[in-house]
Amino acid sequence: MRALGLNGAIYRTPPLNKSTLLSLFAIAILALGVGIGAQSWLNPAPTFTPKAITIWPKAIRLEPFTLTDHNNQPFTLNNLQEKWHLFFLGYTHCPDVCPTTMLMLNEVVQQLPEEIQAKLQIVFISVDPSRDQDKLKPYVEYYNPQFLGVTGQLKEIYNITSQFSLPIAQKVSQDGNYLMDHSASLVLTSPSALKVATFSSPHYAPDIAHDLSGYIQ
Amino acid sequence: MNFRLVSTLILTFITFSNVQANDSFSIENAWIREAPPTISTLAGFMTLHNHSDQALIVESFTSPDFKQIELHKTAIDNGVAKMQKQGPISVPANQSLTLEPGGFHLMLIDAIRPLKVDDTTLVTIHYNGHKQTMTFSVKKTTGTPPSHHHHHN
Ligand SMILES: [Cu+2]
Repeated sequence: MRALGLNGAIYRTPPLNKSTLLSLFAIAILALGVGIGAQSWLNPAPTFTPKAITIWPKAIRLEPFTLTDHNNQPFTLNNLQEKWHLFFLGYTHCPDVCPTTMLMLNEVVQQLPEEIQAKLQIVFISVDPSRDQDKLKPYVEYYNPQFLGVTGQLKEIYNITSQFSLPIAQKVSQDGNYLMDHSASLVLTSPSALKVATFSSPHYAPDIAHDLSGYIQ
Repeated sequence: MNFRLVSTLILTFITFSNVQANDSFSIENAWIREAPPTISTLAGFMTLHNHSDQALIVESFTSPDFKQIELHKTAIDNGVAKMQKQGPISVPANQSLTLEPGGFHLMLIDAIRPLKVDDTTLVTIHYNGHKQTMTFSVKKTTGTPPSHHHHHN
């Protein structure tokens, strides 16, 4: 085999022997494995007419993260196995959008058939760990005793929110107080810990319940 | 006639059902959304009707039950929820301003006592160099405000 290089020189590739072929084969298998590991699967098309859900064309595999739940238990990638998880970002010093969304999420759960309810965990991620660490439990349980509140180091919060493509930003005012700008979207993960879908605001509970009932099997 | 006495009298709010009124403006549906236990930042809502022929400049709010009150506006900007602190706000003559979930709200910061459903709190509105105190009652609401209902099939 001969190929013409850019500078006009002729490069000669050695003939492929059996062991070279084997190692190329091994590299190909390895590459395929890495590809699956870091990449995505095609998401099955919905079998219902979606009202609010945006299903990602490819389900995205998530990288490890380390958070802590409202009972001080670790909440990591492993916790996403077995159940569907619907995530919402917020903080307890947010008296308008966050309570509205938490109440809405409780309505969603009430409207789901019991077998779907049993397969779904609602998760509130506090993006304000320094003020919310001790308030997570009373906060989430007020809206629904089954809801889970999680938070952690800012680095780990950014880790998961960036994987979810959910922006957050701290806004400090002159008096030293601060507000958190945060995405109002919801993210759904599958029982194989894949990011599969997003719900964008404004949220309407019956539409979300309709889509979750259609999508979660 | 003692002018000061007259203005004191007309500044005394007449309260009937959920409307509180003086000579220049009225407040309808003044309520605070109940917060979970331990949460001390709440939001207050109301509709403010300016019945007068001059602009109503709302300068600030105070309450004995909160360390600080700010007027905020919620905006969803490219899918991101933001609260924007507002300065003094002008309600034009014979117009209204509605504070409701997802829009303008009173940001009630650092509650001094826990407030539960059916509790009431006094909020003083500072406007056009005057003061008027009104009553807000604490309520529990669902997640879907009526004005945000929509349907599509
Ligand atoms: Cu606010």
